Amino acid sequence: MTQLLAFLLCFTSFSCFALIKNSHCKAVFAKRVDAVLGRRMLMIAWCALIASVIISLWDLAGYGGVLFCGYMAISIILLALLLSYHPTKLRSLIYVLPTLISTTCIGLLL
Amino acid sequence: MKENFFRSMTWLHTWTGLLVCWLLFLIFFAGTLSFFRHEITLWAQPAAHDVQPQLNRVAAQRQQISTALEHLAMKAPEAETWWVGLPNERNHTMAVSYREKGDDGVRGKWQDNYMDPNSQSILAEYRDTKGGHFFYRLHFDLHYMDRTVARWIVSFASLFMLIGLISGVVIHKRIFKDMFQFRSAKGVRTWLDAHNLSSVLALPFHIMITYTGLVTLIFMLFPYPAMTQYEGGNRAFFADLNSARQHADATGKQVEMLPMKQLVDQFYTNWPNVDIKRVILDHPFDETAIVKFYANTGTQVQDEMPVWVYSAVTGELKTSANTDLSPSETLYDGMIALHTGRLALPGLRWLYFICGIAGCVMIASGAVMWAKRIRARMKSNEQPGFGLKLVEALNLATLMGLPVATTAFFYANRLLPNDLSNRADMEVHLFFVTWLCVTVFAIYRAGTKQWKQLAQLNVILWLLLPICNALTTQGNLISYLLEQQWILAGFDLLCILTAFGFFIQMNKLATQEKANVVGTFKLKERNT
Repeated sequence: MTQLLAFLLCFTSFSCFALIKNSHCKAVFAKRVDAVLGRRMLMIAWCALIASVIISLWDLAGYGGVLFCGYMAISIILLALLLSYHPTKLRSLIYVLPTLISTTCIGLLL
Repeated sequence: MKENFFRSMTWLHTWTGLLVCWLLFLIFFAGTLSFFRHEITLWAQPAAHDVQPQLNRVAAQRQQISTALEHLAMKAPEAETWWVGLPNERNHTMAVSYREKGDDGVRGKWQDNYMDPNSQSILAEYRDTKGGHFFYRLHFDLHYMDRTVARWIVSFASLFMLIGLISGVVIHKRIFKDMFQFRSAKGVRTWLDAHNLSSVLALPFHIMITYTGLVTLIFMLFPYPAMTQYEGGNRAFFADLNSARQHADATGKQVEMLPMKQLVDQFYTNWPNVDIKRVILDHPFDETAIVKFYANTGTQVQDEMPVWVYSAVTGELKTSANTDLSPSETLYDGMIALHTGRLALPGLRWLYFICGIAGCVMIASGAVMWAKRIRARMKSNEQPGFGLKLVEALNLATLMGLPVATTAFFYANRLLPNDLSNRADMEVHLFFVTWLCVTVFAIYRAGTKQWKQLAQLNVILWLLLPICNALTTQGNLISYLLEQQWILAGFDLLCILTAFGFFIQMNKLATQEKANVVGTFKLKERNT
């Protein structure tokens, strides 16, 4: 469960990094990303990435660090495939990812 | 020297990559398969398919070790070494092997036997095969050549890879901006995107695996510190580093050893909760007989197993090693553990595998892109040079030939008679003969048509492999799924997935071939 949370945060982070780029944002939302939103997304991306690293290391120490590298690879593969072949599917992730992260957090707390 | 730093780096990246890309592909391919070497070995041994994993594995070890050692005492009292490999999460059988005494300084041959740990009976019809171990050795020892020479070659290839990775990061100015970019059906641009994407997505893995790969061979590459510090050179250094591996030569004086059960009980009195991976007994019934208990490191980032050495005659604890590593040993051992991935549980193992595949794609796309670029620059009436022809032939032979040869190895495992002498070697020979045949085919011609034909061949071979398995063993994909034999089911599913991958490639190539034919026809029409 903890590792699922780490992966979801990593994926969220890379999704934000991807959507900050105009070409990807246009492909997903058919419009350019505005400056304020871009800055906020960049902040979310870095926070989620740092949180993902911390959670991985806190949970499984060195082993978690290796897992985190794998999470980054999987996130990039998934995003590259989605952006290349089904960019509009990424829209739904805006709602799905926070829901999944919240559910996982609640599951962990319980 | 090129006119600026960027061009110099581009030149370096191109040539360091191109010179060794086929060898690197082989190393990466074999290394990637090696992450699942125990699973491949399990698939290669149908006799072990029905051995059930034990629920209380660690608790059962005490009894298993005693039984295995007593079995060896009965079967091979004259042997030089006894070797007991205990079942673990990835390997459910118990190895009870022994090495025969050699003649005149030549080491004796290993005789391998396997037990079902549940029934503690020897498994019959165990076939002679290298299984996943073949890919593991191929990864750094290559084959048909001296090990030291092979390791030097592999080291140089790894060094070139490291240079290629660093120069690749330097020349890729938009490395983070292009991180998710993949534009399909855009010719050379698509190959460049595939190369960049596969490099960047697993960049930490690529750098880690290449660097730690060099570290595994560091004492061969840089023996001088050990040579200056120790009179006996590397040998003396290793003796000092791991005293548990050293043992006195047999004196030939026969003595009674302590009963096996007593030895094992004594160990467990001192270390009651240790998860044991293997037990080795050197010089049984000699006055120098010692028994070594190796602990399982599990998911620790540590490769060398803690070991306790007891005298098998007196039961005295002689030495222990790797129980408390120094910082430098921890660093070195951690790097080896990261490279081998032995610490990985199934989830991380799959991540290693996916990153390994990304490495293969990175090397393959780089090699293909070079040839495509040269072709694109050529004028319509220009003939390709020898270099381009060679690269195209080697690309086809390596990128498509290796998967074909791998299936040949698996088919040989299933179809060669069990009583064939040197059966394991025959499997390996068939791997290389098949690869040679594909190479000859690729040298003859390496165009789109030949790529498509080899993709077709790969589709057929990978798709028929689960069927061949079902016809030659007791199980099949459905029974594996029903009986929750995930390793065997995973193997069959991966074969089908690989066939599907080659099927997509075949279709793309067929479309490309049609487009080429139409293009040529139009060009001829325009000229006339």
